[in-house]
Amino acid sequence: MQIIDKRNAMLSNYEVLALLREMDEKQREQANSNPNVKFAENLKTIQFEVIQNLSSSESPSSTQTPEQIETTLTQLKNYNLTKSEKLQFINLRPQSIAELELIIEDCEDRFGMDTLRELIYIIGSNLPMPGQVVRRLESGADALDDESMTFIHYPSEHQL
Amino acid sequence: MFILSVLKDTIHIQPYDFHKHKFDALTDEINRIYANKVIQDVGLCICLFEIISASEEIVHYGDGASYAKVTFRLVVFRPFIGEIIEGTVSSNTFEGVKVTLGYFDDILIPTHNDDGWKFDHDTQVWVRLWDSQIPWTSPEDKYLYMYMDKDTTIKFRVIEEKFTDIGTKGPPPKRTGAVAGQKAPMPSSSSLPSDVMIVGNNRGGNTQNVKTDTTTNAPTGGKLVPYELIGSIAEVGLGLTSWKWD
Repeated sequence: MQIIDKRNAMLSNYEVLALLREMDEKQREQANSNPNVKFAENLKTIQFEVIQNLSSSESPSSTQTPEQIETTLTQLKNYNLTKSEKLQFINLRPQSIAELELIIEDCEDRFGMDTLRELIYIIGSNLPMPGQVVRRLESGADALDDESMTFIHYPSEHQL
Repeated sequence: MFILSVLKDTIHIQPYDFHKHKFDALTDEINRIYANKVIQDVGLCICLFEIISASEEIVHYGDGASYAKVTFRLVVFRPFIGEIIEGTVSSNTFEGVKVTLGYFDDILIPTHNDDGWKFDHDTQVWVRLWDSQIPWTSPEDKYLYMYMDKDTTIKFRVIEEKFTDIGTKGPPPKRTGAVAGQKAPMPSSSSLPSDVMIVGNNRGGNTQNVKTDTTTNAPTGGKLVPYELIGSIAEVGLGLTSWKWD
């Protein structure tokens, strides 16, 4: 065995899930046409566990579509974010300023509060959470108001 | 969390797989060898992503299997340092809080590195203390308590990764006049049986310890894991996701 490139590319959770689902489908087809076909135990284990984890209701990747991810990325293009930051946006779907600040390095220096609010809006509208979709779209202004409140509240904590 | 790694390996196709298409046979074999295995300094392999190139197969004298040199890409679980991951609390141990992702269990959030932790003896769980921003009167109100109950969703930052070479229990060493008791040579070929990469011998080569260690799973850190992640929740926004940080 020879390792040629350790980090060739990064994959989002959605891509992994899509790949594994496709593989699962193929295996099922094979099993249908030939009931005696056997698959490696270790592959089945990890495949099952990853699919289960990534498609659980808490995981953003369970409801994402390639189109959603694409539009999110095009809209995030002009924000000067690194690749890994964008990847984590898609994997984690941050919904608050606090979550954004965790993902973005040197957040306070690089982005103003207005930009962060824009980011939240882009993520919220492009990678919607089922159940929350309607509320966010209908009362987008309210959500922004909430965040500005947390913003006012937040620096005062630092001063303490 | 997931990356692609390019690897090159000699893949055997056994005669009973000759009826398969070459591509399918190689795919199945690569998945059998690598899926759910940890490669040192690479990460936990999930499955094959694609085959980049494969050479002509060669059949050696005295062996029915065919051999092909294959370059391929694997999907690998290898979060980068600083990445935020969501998992579930699997247990509270002496060392700290163990977190699982379902497919990967060896994540530890150590509780002895800072004083923001307390062990609750009644419930046997670790408690994270957060400074309360609300003006407090009694000492109990000084902190907000975050209980690391089992099966709760937790968000943490990866701060360290540890690869431990636990060796492989691969094919028996070839008889090349090795002295009894001498350390068995590490097999470098990929013809590992499917279930062995994780089971290993101790760092000191003490075979007696292996049995006790792998079975007891002692909280004192007896169990050796090939790939471990160290996490931290010591930042605003991390910790249990049920908390509203706003």
